[in-house]
Amino acid sequence: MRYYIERRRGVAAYQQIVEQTKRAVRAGALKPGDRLPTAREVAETCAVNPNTTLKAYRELDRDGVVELRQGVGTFIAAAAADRSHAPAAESPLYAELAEWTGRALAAGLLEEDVRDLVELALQERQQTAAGTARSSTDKRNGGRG
Amino acid sequence: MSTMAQTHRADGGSPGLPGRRTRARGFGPSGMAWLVWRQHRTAFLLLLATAAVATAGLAWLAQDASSAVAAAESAHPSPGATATLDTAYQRLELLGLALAGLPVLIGMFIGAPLFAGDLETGTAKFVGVQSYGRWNWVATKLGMAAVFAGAAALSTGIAMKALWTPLANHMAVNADFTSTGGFDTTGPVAVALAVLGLLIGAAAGLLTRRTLPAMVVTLVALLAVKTVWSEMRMMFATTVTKTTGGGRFGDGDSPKVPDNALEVDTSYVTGDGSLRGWGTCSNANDASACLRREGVVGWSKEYLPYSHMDAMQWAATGALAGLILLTAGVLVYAVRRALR
Amino acid sequence: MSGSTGEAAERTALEVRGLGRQYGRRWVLRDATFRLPAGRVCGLVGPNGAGKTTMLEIVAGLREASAGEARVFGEPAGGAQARQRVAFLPQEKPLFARFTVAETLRLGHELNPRWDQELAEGFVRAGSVPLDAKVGRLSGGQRTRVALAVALGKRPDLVLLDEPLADLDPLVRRQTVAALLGEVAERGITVLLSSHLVAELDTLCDYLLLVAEGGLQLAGDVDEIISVHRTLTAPTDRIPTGPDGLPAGLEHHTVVEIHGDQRYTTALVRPGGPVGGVWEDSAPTLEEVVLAYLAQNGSAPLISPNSYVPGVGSEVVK
Repeated sequence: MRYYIERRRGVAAYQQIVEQTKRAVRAGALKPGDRLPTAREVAETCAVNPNTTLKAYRELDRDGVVELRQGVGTFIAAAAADRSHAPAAESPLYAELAEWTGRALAAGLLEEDVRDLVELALQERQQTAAGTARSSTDKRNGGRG
Repeated sequence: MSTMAQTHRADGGSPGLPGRRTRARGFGPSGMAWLVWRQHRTAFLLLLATAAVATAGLAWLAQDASSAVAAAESAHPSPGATATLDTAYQRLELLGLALAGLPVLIGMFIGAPLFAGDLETGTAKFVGVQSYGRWNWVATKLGMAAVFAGAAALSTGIAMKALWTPLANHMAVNADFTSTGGFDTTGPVAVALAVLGLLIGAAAGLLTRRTLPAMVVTLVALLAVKTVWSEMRMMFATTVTKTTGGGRFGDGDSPKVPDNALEVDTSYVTGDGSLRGWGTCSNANDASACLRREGVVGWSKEYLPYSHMDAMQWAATGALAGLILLTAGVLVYAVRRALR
Repeated sequence: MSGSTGEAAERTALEVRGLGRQYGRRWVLRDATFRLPAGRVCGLVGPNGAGKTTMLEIVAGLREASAGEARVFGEPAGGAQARQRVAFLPQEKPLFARFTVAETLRLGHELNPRWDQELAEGFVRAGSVPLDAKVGRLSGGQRTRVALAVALGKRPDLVLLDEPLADLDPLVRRQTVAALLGEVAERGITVLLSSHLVAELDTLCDYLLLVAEGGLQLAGDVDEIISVHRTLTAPTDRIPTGPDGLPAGLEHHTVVEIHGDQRYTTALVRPGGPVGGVWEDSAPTLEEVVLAYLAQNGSAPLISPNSYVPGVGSEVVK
């Protein structure tokens, strides 16, 4: 499990930590009882503001993903196990995605483009779900693809 | 840009060590004095070494001068003895002038860079943001530099005095102990001038904020001070006046002054006590008649005994202390201006 | 005098009221008023000449204010108490070039009663800076690390950094930031740093102060600041003109800044209603927000309540 903090458009660093932690739990890479890096460790390895990390951990705590134990550390909560699907990597969905990714790269897309497309698909999904019903296209992708 | 952090397993983890104060003390200065010594030790040691060499050299020459005087004063002095004494005296004048340059050297090479260096490189800011205030820094720097400058002036001054005394006692009229070479290089005056030189240099450094210009300004300022000072020196002398009366004003009737005294003025005195210049009636055909017509009754001779030198030096030191205080005031202003 | 007392004063790392400084007849800093909550890493941005350095120097006790006052944890800046709790790293990172690294740390030890030798030495060693090297021979990154070690070894509660990253290459910059943030995490230090590198501020800072000609323009949590702004973009020829002559569709919003060419027009707004019409809506980066506020004329300041100083200056716009 590693955090990749990217300076991406519109995604705050703390959200990235939250997302990546949840993803790791879902994928089974983090198991109940595992300790997350301290804010200091994240700061020293990722140059991320410790308040940002703590904010992310507080949000994860609220969501029941982790447990903040005062003076000890931040641990993956036992309840979080329920959220983890069967190892995601074994699911047929992953196989499909892997196959699609291969095609995309073969078609000349950059890794960045692939990530953007996945992100875009997720965003549209969210917006449809939220009912704002306004198709929004990231203008950066307007000329590409 | 992407970065990563490794998570720890449930059993892992290394809590950070709490900070601990460690005080590894060795010998030597501490606190601000440590910094001042570390920063200026080369200059301070060079000054002390120079002073030590000068002191030793002057002490050796003093021995030499004493024996030359003794040889010249013996019942039957050899012709060589007088020549040796002459050499010793000429050397004395040169050494005096050289030693009178000490305050200038101190001002230029210790005073001027004292703060200008820190202002130039920015280290004044670095020191200024540590826990102690800037006045602590300024006072420690000036205090330590003044101690070293004073010590150098004191030790060379003592040696110079030892060299001067036997010669002054022997050849009073020639050895002007109120001159730059004799008066400014010995006793409390030497110490006061060294401290003054230091302060003027430091103030110049604070005002110019650059070492080289500060050195030039210091040189010019100190040369000006020395020129004015040379004019002022006799103000601190308390002279003695001897008069003769009863119409004895012939050339041979001029009153005798002690061997080691310095003649300040010679004039005629009239019956009512007023003085007439030495040149009075020098153009008259009959000088004696002319002088009698003028009412001259005798000689008046003003002189400064060698024994008055100490009192004169202390009086001069008092005046220099005033000048030092004045410079310190300028310095305080300069510190506020440079650091605020 | 500060109206806050006791605990409240403790929670505020820095309070600046009407602070100004003039050199001769020229004001380089004028009427700066804000509050910085403790425990934040705060970016201080503004155009050149806005008086950022002067303000940091006043807070550090290096200069006197010509007007107003600055208080560090309730104590007047420059006083004996504040002096011990504040560390300042000037932009030029002055150190004694002839001292060794060890001697530089010794200086910190001799001049600071709260000195933590272990911390300072550890910080220097972690950057593989040899202790016996002469400071004058260190690289820019190593120098910065040594200067930071002295600042942190003082065990300050507030660290002021003036353009700490400006002259460092990207890798060293990252290492320096990482090391600094590590100490922030460990000790809960409050950091106030000025920077031109706006793009780097969003992972470094969680708080932002933006000063410009007209005073404080933007103050508050970085996340909050970003979340209340939207970037709106539309093709220029498709924007109808509204009744007031301005582009239509922006009436409900506070427009911070708008610019465009013949093809696209982009506006940074604080939305006051639904976004619609021809405008496409996206979340701005911190950099975009900062640049918009730097470009605007000071008409729409945004001061978060936790940086607002009661009874002084402009109203809270939230």
